[in-house]
Amino acid sequence: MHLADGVLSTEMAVATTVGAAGMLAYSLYQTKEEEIPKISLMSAVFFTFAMLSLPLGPSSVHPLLPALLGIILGRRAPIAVFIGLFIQAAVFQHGGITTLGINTLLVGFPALICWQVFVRGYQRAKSPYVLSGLLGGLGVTLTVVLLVAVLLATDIRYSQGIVSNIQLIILSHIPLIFVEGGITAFAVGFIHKSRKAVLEAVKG
Amino acid sequence: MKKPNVRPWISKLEIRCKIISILGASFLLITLEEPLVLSIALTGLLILARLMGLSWGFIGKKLRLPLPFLLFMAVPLIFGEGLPVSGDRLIFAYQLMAKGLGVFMLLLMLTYTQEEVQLVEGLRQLPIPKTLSAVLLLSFRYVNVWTGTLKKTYRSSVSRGFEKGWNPGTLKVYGEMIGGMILRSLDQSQRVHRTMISRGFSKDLPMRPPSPLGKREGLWVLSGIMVFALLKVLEMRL
Repeated sequence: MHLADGVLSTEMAVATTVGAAGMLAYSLYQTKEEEIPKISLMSAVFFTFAMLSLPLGPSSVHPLLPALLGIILGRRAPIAVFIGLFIQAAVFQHGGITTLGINTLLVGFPALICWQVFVRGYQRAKSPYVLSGLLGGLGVTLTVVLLVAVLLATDIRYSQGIVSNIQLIILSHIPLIFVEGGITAFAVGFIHKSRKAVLEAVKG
Repeated sequence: MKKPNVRPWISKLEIRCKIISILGASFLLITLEEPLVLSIALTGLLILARLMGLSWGFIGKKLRLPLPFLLFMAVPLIFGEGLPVSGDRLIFAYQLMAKGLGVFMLLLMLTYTQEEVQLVEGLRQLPIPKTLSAVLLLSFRYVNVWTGTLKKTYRSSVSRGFEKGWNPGTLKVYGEMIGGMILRSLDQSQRVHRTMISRGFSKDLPMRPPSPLGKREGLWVLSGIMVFALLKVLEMRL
């Protein structure tokens, strides 16, 4: 999920904006000219799929795709995340502007972790489906862990009560771990079958 | 959705002024804590939106987007500890809702008081890294292309018996749809890069030179931010 404006305290909104700026600086460092169209088009793809809603009981879930972005874009993934989220917030009022920093960190940081794991595991993995499926689940899990940590640091009331916000967030994301695991596995598996070179080109 | 007919005074306002003042106002708004001051801010923003020409119907329709997310956070805060509801948790939930809706109103004013293209151009004219500026412009152009492609792919899948839901079969369809779009986007990015190179691209996509900001524009930025700064002062005095 994307955190809406008003959920974070001012201190946390500022701190996460600074943190996201640092991560973006790392991602932007030494970007080659030829990478720009690839990052741009992947930002658009990320945006498009993040708007896709999959029915879940009376509600719906939206793919976050941190693992897939990390696998395809590597170090540049946070740029695509930031731009995708920015367009969602500014043009569609989905997400938030003061929470753009935390929302970028929530997807961008797991994307970087998944990229590093994929680079180390792809050549050795017996099945790209299993590896990418696990990474898909790991990406969402890391997002939820970060989200819970930030909410706890913002205000303890998010964790208090018989039915707390944090409990609801964890519960609502459990199905997404499996959904994203499946989607990432089949997407990466499809790319592996159709054009292995794309995955082999991912560098650490 | 049909664009609202906004008043000329706001649609003609320099876009960078709007962006800077709305960003500043958003961060100042979330510093407010006092329910009374937050209510004043929210009422003021609603009046301002009406003065800009955004109708009640339009605002109401747009509210359908952030409201579920805000309620998802606010309802457990209110009822999480059971009944009776504590005043402290009620105030906290109100603060969250008021701040969220306030920034949402500011974003509506930013997005719907000029064309989207002008907004993107305005953002590019701000001092941001060239790479980020180029990615923003290209992504913005391709969002509509991919949304259209996804809709077409989805429609053709439905016509072949695909049913929305989630089970291993559905996930396979979604996954392969995404995988296919990624490959298409990679091919497309190479074509885009070749085209850009042939037009002399070097990390920086050309844009109109930004017009210098005058006193009038400066005053706008200042007044937009000052209103919220004054509300903060008022809150500290209460």
